[in-house]
Amino acid sequence: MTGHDVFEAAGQRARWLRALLVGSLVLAGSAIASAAATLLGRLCFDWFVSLSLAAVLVGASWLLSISAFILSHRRRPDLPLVLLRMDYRMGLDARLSALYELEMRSPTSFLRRRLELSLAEWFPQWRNGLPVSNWSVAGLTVGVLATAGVLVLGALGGISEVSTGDLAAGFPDEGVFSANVLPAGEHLGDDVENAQIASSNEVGGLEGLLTELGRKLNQVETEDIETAIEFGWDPEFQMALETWLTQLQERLVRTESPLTAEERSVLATVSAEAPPSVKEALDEILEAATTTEVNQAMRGLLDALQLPEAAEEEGVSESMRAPEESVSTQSGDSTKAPVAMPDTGAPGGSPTAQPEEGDAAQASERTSEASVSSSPSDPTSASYVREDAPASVSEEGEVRAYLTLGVPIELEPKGDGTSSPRVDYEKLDSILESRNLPASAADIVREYFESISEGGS
Amino acid sequence: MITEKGFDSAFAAFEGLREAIGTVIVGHDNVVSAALIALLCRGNVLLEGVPGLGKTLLVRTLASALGLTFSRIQFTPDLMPADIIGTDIITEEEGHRRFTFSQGPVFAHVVLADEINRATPKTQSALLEAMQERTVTVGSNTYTLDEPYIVLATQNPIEMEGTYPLPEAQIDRFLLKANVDFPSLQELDLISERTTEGAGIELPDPVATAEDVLEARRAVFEIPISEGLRSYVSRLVLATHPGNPTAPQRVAEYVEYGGSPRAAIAVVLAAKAHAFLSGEVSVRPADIEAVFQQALHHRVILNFRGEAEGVQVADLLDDVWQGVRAV
Repeated sequence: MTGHDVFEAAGQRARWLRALLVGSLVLAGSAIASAAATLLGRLCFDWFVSLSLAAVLVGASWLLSISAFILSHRRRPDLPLVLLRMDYRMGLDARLSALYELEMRSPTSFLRRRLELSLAEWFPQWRNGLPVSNWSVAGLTVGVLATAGVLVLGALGGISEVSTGDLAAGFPDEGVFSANVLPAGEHLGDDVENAQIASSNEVGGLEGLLTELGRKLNQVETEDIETAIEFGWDPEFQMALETWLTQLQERLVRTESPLTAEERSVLATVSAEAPPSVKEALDEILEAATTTEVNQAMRGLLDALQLPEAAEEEGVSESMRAPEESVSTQSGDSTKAPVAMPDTGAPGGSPTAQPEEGDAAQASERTSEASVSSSPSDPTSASYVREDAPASVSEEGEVRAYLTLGVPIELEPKGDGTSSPRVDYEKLDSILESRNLPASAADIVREYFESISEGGS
Repeated sequence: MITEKGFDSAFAAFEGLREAIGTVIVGHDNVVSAALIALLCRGNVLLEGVPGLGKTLLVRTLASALGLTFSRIQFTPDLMPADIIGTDIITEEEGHRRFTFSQGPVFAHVVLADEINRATPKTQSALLEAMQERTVTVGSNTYTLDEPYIVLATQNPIEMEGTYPLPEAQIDRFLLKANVDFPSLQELDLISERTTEGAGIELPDPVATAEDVLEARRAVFEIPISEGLRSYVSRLVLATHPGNPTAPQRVAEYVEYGGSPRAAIAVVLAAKAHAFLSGEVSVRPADIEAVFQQALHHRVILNFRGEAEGVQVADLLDDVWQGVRAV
């Protein structure tokens, strides 16, 4: 290897290293800027970056970095300076750069030969004089981490949007339902709109709570999460649907007017995406001819939506925990069960709610669909429908599971044997305590429900 | 272009010259080195030190070891330019009278201008042309000085009364300025022994010729310095200017004028000569460091505040050296 070879190779390597340095620094800078903007938007302005926007930001950062790399690589390096740096790094007393000077000015000088001879042992190690800069490594590392952070924030932003969104959240495990399935320009009805407005006013606080809850839940034992999720549907959707249905029911009772076209449209849309147990109850509402039938069907649906929590509360979940075990308890001479009978909280922990004829028939059908086995040995017990728990516990699932467990709803028995849900925030603390939530999660759940109830009133 | 053989012989000659000087001069390595560097670079040296430190002996030894002519000029307030450079005198030959130029002491290879700051500026400036152009002009005639030519001027830093400090234009003509320090105990013992025992000090026989010096000069000019180091020297010189953004804070505060372009030339040339004397074939950063202070010390002029506060130029140059990096 001659000095000339070293100069050419060093020039190429210096060009690559400089391009790498510039590219990595540009990547780090742009990625940090993206991450900072995403984080600031999330923390200060409640602005959530979707996963797709995060991907665009990350892509732009990398594109900028690659452009900087290419532009930098096109520029010729200052070779005398590069060689002097190599001299200093390898302790060559500026002989390499002096050799380059001689090669440029007097290539035939005997001094050039002498210098080359004195450097011959160093030539094979010339790469040691041009190591990859620590700044390049740091820039690349920071850039990759920051872009990953942007993507994670984007993913979390998507989750938060779902968790604090409207009815469009849907059933993630049983078919995604989103606002997109609604026809453009179609409204959800006044009550829903009001709920959405109220919800949007709370978005910042709720999302913050959810984020904090998710963070705290990371410290919870996996077994606890699995136990919770086993009874949990999608809690946000469930709650929103319950709220809307409750308001709808109140309106129907108050005005004694039939369902509006918009309300029917919403119910039909939800029914199309809902799991079988809810779908049949919704269809029953839609098919009801009178306001009374609508009210009854609505109660059945609301009861069905509260079944898992009620079962958890009253300790009847023992029979529901076993994955392969599904219980259908029949009442009297009826062979049909309601959509889902809530636990009424009767002494002894056994459900006493009596199904209605129509509900029982639908429940029976659903039971067969869900591979439900009946328990004919106990003809007085109520009938239950088993829904499969999510197969896996995701980060989103953990949050929802604990929110579901923490819902401060009690089922109040009525005179006709049915029960209706009752939200009693005065009992919030005792309910949370009885449900054995981790203290950190209980605080967040409490704060969450106080927030959505505007102070618990 | 110098041949490899010429380069080696020149180097050997200067090795011998250094050894020969070492047999007479005890210590003062920096002064000897400065004198040899100036000789190799076609420059002049300003030696500063108190009397009795062997400055004159050094110059005499150098001239003797090179087999060159030597003259010593003692500068006094009443010294006239003609006393240095010579003058036209009337001579009579074969019945005809005519003016004949009588050469002054400046016509020698090695000139010692002792206590140069005691002469008037007019007389001091009489040396300017000889130092820079290697010529002497009298009337309408210009006479060329023989090469190699070197002026070694001394000045006493403690007896400043009645002296005429060298003007900047003249002081810039000196390639290097070397401080002649007081010898150490061991060196003093050796000096005492050499001067009081036996026959006393004997000047060495010539070990090199004028041709060797000229060959060595060519070799020095061929020694390469990398572009990066050359730029480094320029940045160092620029940093001695108070108005330059790279100047250290103390330079900005205490310096009136920094090094001239001639200073940058001096550093590069002196570094080359230093590398040659060290047996190297290229300039190293260490060579620049070795000559940096000597080449710039007399070219950095303090302002009133710097003078009043007794700031040392050497300290300011240390700041510059620390503040400017090669890469």
